[in-house]
Amino acid sequence: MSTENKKININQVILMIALSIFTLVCVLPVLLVVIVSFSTEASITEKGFSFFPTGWTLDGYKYLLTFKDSLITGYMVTIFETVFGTLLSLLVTSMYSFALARRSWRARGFLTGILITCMLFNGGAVATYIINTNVYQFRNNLLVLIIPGGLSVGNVIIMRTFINSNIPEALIDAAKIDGASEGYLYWRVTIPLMKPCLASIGFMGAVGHWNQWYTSMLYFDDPKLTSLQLLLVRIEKDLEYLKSNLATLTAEESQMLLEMPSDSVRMAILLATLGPMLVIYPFFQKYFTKGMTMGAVKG
Amino acid sequence: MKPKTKLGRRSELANNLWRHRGLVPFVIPGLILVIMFEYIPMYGQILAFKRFDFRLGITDSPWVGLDNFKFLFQNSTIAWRMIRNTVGYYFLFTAVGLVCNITLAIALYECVSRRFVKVSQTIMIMPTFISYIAVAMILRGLIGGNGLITNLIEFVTGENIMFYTQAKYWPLILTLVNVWKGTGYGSILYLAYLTGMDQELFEAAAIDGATKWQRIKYITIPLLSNIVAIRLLMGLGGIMNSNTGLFYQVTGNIGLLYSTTQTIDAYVLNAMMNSSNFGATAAVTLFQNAIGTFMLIVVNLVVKKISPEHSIF
Repeated sequence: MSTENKKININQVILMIALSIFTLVCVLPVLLVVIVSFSTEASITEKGFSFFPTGWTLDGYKYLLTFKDSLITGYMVTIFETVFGTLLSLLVTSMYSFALARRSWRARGFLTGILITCMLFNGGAVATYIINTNVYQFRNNLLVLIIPGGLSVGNVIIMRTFINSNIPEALIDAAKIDGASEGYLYWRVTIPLMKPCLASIGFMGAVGHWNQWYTSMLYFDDPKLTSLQLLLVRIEKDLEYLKSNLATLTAEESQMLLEMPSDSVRMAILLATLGPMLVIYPFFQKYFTKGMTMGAVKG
Repeated sequence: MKPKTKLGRRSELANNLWRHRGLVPFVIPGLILVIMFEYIPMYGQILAFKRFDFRLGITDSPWVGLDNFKFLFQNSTIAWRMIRNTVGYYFLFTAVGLVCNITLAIALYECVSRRFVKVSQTIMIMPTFISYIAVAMILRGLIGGNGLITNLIEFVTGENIMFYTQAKYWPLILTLVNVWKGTGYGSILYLAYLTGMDQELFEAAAIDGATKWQRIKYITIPLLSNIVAIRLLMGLGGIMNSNTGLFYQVTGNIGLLYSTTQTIDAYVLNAMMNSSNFGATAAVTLFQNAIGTFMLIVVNLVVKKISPEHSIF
């Protein structure tokens, strides 16, 4: 593969051009969002969504402030779900995996079987929804974002395999003979050695929570629980709705709404929800390869 | 050594469990969650045979036998349409995704500039981290009434295409969105396999005068084919599942587009959002799960035969 003395030949140039094109395809739609968020309403009306608007403005961001309260609520709900959902899942899943990884334990087969059964059969969306709302009272309850996903069957298998192949049982046995408790073995021995595994699983979990909309949409109608993703949906609908019902608004409100550059505001809000993820993910890139290959080993 | 008696074996097991009692607290939280959110909903599947009444709850709602399943057979155009879409997109996405992921992995692997690979890879995996709601908004900016691509097509051909009212365009649109969102990330696994391969094979082939294409065709692809076969087989368990982000959000859940966009999961979500007939919807998910379970068992048997270390149980 890449050796220093290999010359850059014509094939390499073609290859790099092809790769560059795909790279551009990946980034251009996001760039378009950025540009539209700075475009004037006149330009959008005239030219549509364009990389070369006729006028630039900060209005989109100025009007963003009218949605300040919804945005703050959105960030609080989303950050709450992302932080606690990810931490709880990492804790519960790693604890279960830590115990399952002990080869000498005879309950191991039974405890694995319980999980495998869940992979084969599941309640399905409707039964889950009815049980969650009817029995656990999860309607308009933030816990639904965190608790049901606390144990991930797939991740237990990955973590258990990781522990088995990276932490020698002899080390555990030796520590036990020295009088170490299971709590010590878990927190002081296993967890520090699992850092790359926790980073990759934890980050993908966090991305899932940040971008989650299904559960919120299904279970919440309380505006106080509107996450960032749901906010995007609502604003899309509300702007349409408000613009078609101008008569019901006060003169001041309808004037403001008519002046509002709706496309650039929407794109500005979109960027506000995307921003944090897009800034953070490159720092976790090195863990992805590890995470992907870990997932491919036997359960 | 004395031959083990039944009693001896039992006390040995009890002994083993007692010695490891310190591990029990570590599995308790997980077990509680699994029972509450996996096993109890499994029991909830009996909804498929009941007429659900919210006040009565699942256990006390009246039984209706197989009435709920009539939908699947009587209302067969809708049922057939969503099954066809689900399975069709499954195969379409699997085939196109596989070709794209492997092509990109080989291209990145063959590229000699490590820094270029690193930077372009960082950008190519970005779409994976963008939510489907955001993707839906971006897509509307591209192919909506005032979108970039809509305007471009109008500029070139003079024709104004209304993408959001015409179902025939959506198989292509959804496939492209899926490739855009998943290829950068999907290639990581195959690239990892390629870099982990025995480099001597490639060097020996080069000495023997094999061209780059020959090396890719006769070494790289055969080496990848094992892992590809296993992954394709294992994936078949999800043949009846689809991504609601794509089929509900990105398509906008627009009725005009249902003929090419409504999958089982999108139908179920739509039915739940409208709180319509939970029993019939539960019947749909039971049917969906039964096929999934059957596929998983068959596939696992096959994998166990050809490559035991990759089977799940």
